Amino acid sequence: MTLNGSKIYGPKGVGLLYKKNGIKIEPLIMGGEQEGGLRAGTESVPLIVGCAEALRLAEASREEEASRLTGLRDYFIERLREKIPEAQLNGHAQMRLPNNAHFSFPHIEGESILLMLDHAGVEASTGSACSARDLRPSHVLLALGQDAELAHGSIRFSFGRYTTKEELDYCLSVLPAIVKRLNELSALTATI
Amino acid sequence: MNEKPKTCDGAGWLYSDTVKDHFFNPRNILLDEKNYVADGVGVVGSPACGDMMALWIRVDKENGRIAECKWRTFGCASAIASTSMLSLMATENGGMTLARAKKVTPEAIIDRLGGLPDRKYHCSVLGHQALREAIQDYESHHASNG
Repeated sequence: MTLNGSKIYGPKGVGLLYKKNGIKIEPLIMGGEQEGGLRAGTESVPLIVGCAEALRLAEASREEEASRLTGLRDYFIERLREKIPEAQLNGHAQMRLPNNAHFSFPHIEGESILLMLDHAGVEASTGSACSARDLRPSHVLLALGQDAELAHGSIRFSFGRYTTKEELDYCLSVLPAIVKRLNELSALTATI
Repeated sequence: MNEKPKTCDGAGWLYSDTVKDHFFNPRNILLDEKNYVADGVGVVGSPACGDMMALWIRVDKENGRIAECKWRTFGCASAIASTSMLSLMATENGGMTLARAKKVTPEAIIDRLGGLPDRKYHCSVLGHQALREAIQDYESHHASNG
């Protein structure tokens, strides 16, 4: 198992590998004998200390933060579904990460949604092919059985330690108009 | 929130100002297509591929030029902006002749947009095909135009 320090508000460029004693693995970086021969290169002590401290802080607030984020997530999911009934939640409503709300919006495309959200000051991400070099939409959504058409309109909302309910309310206040506007422009809603 | 900058993309806007303008203020959108009587209709792309556009034209029968060019697009910002720009090109300066409109290239649209990122080049500019299809649709109903 690998852990990435920057995902828990630690420094970028450091992580950790957790493995059972006796498991033999090949180093990805060759050339030196550092870290038991598993990773060549001089260790960055400041990054390692920063990662350890980030891990300590994350663990200290884990339960409280998970419960706070779960509350925000459920609030966000519920309000979004009220405001945009056609939006489809991807994944299980409860058995999901506390900080993740992932939706697909029929008839509209993810990059367009993202750019309009960006314009309104909201950061999110998309599984749309248009944001990547590959032309196919998210392989995860396709593997879940979603149509390519719907998967093109997927948006991931992630929450973090500094996310507030006011920010979610702001996002929920601008998103319906964006979805409505792109539906008006869409060829998939046209009678041809 | 309000105190934040209006755009939060740290890397800056990927598209030209013209693309941005046509994405946020698209020209010649057809909202009320059910009550619109077109002379020709063209549809290209597919929802599965993430880009699909429909284009409706009206033709001035006196001079054989495009009088109106309306559209709807499912797709990313460059798909929306490029269809919008095409509709403008087809109708500006008294409208394009059908002969000329059939020969509009994606490069001409991209030029007018001030360029597009490389990876958008092939997938998102389809409007010229829809326009060609709409003209063929019109001509098949007006055989004398040949």
